[in-house]
Amino acid sequence: MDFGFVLSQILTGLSSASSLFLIASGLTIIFGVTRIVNFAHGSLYMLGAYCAYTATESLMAILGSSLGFWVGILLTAVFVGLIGLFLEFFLLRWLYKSPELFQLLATFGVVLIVQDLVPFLWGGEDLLGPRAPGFKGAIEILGWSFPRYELFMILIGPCIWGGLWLLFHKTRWGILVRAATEDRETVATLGINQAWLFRSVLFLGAFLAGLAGALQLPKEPANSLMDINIIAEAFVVTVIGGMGSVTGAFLAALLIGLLQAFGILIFPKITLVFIFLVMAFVLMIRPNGLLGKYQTVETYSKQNEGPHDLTFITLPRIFITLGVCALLPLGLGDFEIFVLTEILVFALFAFSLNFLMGFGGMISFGHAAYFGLGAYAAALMTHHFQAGLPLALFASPILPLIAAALFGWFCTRMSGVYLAMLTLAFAQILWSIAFQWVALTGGDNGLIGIWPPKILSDRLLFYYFALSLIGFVFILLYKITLSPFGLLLRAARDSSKRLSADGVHVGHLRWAAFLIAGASAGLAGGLYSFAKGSIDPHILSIPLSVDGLSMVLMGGIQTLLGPLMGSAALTFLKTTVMSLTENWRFFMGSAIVFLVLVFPRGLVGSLIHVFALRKAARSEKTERSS
Amino acid sequence: MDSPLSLASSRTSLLKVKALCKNFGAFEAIKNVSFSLFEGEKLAVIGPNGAGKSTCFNLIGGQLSPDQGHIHLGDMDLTGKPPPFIAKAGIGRSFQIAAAYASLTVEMAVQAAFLAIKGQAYHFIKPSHHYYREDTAALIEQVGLGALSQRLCAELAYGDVKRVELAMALAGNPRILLMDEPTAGMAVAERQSLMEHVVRLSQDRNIALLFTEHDMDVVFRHADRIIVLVRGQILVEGPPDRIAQDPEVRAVYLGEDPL
Amino acid sequence: MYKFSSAHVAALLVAVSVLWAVVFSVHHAAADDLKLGDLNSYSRFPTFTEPYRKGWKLKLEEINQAGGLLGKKLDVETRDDGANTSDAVRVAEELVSRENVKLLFGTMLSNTGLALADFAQQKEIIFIAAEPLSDALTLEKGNQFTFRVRPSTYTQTAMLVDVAKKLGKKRWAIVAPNYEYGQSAAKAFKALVTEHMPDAEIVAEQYPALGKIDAGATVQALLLEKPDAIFNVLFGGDLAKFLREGEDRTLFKDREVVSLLTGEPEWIDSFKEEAPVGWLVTGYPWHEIQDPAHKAFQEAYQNRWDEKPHLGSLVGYITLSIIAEAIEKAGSLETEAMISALKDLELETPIGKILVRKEDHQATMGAWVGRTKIQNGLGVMSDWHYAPAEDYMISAEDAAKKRPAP
Repeated sequence: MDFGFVLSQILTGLSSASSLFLIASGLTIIFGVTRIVNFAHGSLYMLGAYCAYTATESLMAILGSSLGFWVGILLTAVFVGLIGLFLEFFLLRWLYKSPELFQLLATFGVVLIVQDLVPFLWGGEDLLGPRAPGFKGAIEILGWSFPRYELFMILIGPCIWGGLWLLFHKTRWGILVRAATEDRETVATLGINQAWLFRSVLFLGAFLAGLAGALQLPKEPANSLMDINIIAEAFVVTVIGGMGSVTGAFLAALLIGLLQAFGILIFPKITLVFIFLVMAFVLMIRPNGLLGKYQTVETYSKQNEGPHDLTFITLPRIFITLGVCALLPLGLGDFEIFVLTEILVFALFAFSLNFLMGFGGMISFGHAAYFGLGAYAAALMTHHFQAGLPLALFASPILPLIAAALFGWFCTRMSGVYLAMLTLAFAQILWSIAFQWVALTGGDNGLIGIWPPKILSDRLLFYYFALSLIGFVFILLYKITLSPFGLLLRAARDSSKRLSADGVHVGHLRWAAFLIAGASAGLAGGLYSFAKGSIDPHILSIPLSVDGLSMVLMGGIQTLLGPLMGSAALTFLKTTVMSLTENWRFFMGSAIVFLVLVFPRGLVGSLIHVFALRKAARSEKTERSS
Repeated sequence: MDSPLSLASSRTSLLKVKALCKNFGAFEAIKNVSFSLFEGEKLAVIGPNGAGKSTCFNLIGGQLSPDQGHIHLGDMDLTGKPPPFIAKAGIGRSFQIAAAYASLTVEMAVQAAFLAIKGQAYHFIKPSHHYYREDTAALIEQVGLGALSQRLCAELAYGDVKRVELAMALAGNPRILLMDEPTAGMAVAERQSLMEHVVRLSQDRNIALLFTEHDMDVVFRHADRIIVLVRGQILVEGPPDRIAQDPEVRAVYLGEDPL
Repeated sequence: MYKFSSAHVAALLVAVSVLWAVVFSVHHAAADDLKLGDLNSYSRFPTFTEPYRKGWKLKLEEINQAGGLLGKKLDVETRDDGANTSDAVRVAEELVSRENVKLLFGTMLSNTGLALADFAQQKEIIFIAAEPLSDALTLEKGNQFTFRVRPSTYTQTAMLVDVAKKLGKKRWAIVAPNYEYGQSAAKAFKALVTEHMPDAEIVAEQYPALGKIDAGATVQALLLEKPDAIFNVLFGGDLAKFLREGEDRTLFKDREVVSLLTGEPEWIDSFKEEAPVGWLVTGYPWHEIQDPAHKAFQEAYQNRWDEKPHLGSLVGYITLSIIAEAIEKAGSLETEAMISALKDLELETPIGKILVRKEDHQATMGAWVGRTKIQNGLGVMSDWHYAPAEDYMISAEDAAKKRPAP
């Protein structure tokens, strides 16, 4: 390898690093101040690319190619910033008092809406934008050609970083933002208008996303998959750097960019999983990222007071619910029963996630790992060992249990978003294994032919089979929630510091919860593969994890019935809308946004809240009259 | 420095802290701190903000581990042990910012404390409310929360949260109670009553009390002995009357405050 | 604090019951219609699937204007397959059990294609896969209910290698997206190189993640090994990035590039005047095909949709042509009769006579191979020829051996 090549590869790495930093910086700023996990950041980036296409096309005709191009890029960034402002004003600000992560669900709705809006506005074809005037072609560096635009990109990253540094250290606004990043309560008490602080931060974050998208245009055509393709990487860079740290994001982008440039020389097939391996590695060494500060989230937090239905739900009432579920499919056709089966299976998946998240306080962005592993366990038993359904279903919680034991051991050492991102990293690693180990898993084509035996091949019988199994596990999980273990798990969620001082090793407790959640998600996965007949790596992927999160949040986190309601609502919505229109993403996204705004505590959570308010009003009345 | 042992030499020392050090980066939070706590004693640690009181308590409680030095409870070495180990060894504690379980009722919170300290965490089927019912009810009554036992901790007044924490700390029948600012954030009238409550309970159960406190009235009324911590070091230690008179203490810490 | 009232609860209940009523009460379809179900990744990959749909719609209108089939009107329910197997299977179930369709066709992704093939077998209903390229669909994972229209990855690679071997290049590099299609194209290429170009060697391989190519680094990695020629499987946005980086970094200077699918209007159009020049590609030179049957199709398509046909248009048109021909031959839509009708079905299409082989249920639709050039600001193919699939496909006997026993 000659020196010219190494230098050229380093420069290439630096250029990718700049791109990554641009998108990650906005994300990290938004998270740092508002604690919003903005899934729609990729959508803003994509909008940046599309808007830049339109803006440069028209402005280059009016203002001339050079001026038109750069004015177009800048206008685009401002415009996308305004979209961010719009989102804050009409959506996010209504959700600041909702349970943690509820904004995530809202931004997920926005992702779906934008996915359908973009082809509607710009058409489905990829739009190849103009090359940057003044940066066309290449220069020669030690015998290797290097594109001028890449050199420009190398410079833009540090410039933006420097600009942000000045902004945050030399302006009153920036200092306030930094103070808010460190400690939200303090800023609230200083009498600063928090609303405008949040709003301006969303503008800045969206501006940076738009700029990143616009500057990508000379390298990549605007296309409708840009959002999905960038968002995971943006999160990875943000997390490696330490959530909320701009300089951390800068370092993380450099790390990823350079490692990737040389990594593919040695392992050309590592591309799918590379950045997640780096993230897992960094988080194991530095649980708060490179420059992240240790988060003391365990003050007396209002967020822990989610409404819950634990006192309302009793065993007889669970049996009544199961009885209703047993009556539902009567008189319906195969398809409807199939949908109901899917609802049940996802309800178990969501319930296991809620056990971890709602009761255990451990957010997981990668719960599909266990669901998918369960499905793969069942499918592999069927496929490679010709095992029947009983053996395959028996295996389905075992494999996830082993994975949960391993992953949980690392994950339970951290908390909050870092824990969530580590679960995501593990899920992505499993996903890429399923994707690339073609001989075992069939690769992205997946495994087919996983059907239940003749006796259960009738959709109705399979429904009852699934219902009895899921009902059993549901009751088991219900029992565990109310048992000493469940009580202490909830106590650990409310204050792990307190419980630890009371004599429980919180890490062990959470690890056990991880195992329980993993195994029950696995069983759901096993049932799923028999209901569908075929599986592919999609069931280990981020979108399925997000589906699970959406179900939990939409149903009402920390509630027992929430996951069932969330699964029913989401599956039902998707099926209905998908059979009515191809623009189902738009309608589904709108429905999510609508539900989030109307039921800011989730469906069940909001209902309980109504009852609690009523009860409070009634007891107040009786107190006054007595 | 005068020996404080005159006051307590007849009693056996329960907790021994020897040459404790803790740094946060370049900042020395605790420098070479040594002291003993005797059976049944009420020892107060006072000092200005940032003197290292909470750090000191977190070192003893296991929330932090020391860079140097030793902590012994009787013959048992507690240095660098995790909080659950220390709790089971017989040190109960409360935190400066009261930490109760917001989503649990008072009864469940105290029950959780019993389950925790007795090592009953890994029971999965039998409902938790069947465990330690009488003990829980009695303890809640003792800390004066009998009327509120079915209320959520999140709904309680701050003073009542402090009482819940006290109950939780007492669930394991500890030999030592560590209280980091037991009355911080409470109304003046409530402070004395809570502190009297604490003192009475600890006397009944023969628990040694180690506490920090901002309210000097509380300190001087209840402490048997006082340690003054300044910039991570012990400035002086002794009985309340001597501390009140100590010119150095008055200069550095108490300022013009007439005692 | 958010204000809540019983109105919200009522609103929720009403919304749920309305939805319930909409979905679970409406039952369509009279039983004696000739009703087919189509599903494809319409919302995810509109560039490719919309022309496909316009293609079969054109054929459908032609059929019904001519009086339908067997004296009945032909009807097609069309759905989005969600671009993943889990949604695809659910939508298929809906089409079969609620819409009462008697036959399924469509899909472009290999995984949804394979999942639906399996579903078809389980439900004992016919599935005509239009565009999935995975070889396994008609070989290792083939079943008696599944048929495929387009030539598979292996077949198209073989067409290219046939031309590539005449270039006499020794040092080859491979760049392919990191998923089944890319991997199996690379595998097929390697196998064919060993067979047909014994003195050639593969000196570099790069497998960037689909949609996430780090183009600069990938181009550099290829340059490092100084190949004489490159076999490319990238497409779409990845290829666009690769093109610009490769151009700037002189990867394509004095190097032959052999590229799968790149000549299809679906992909090459978006590059506009930056389309690669001189690449050997498979594709669809729609404007230059002079065959009268194709001319007629092209004109009908342009009249109906006011746009030029894409390869997908042709596939869609041929797919429904095959189905229609089989229905006529079988005299009904009944599955058993249709299967025997489809086997060895021969029919005239815009690209000439094609056959649905009985051994592996694969149609002998071919592809066009040629070199790319720029014309009127768009990439097109020149020096092209039609490569008949039967010359490159795995032989019927070998195919039969690879298929599982029925």
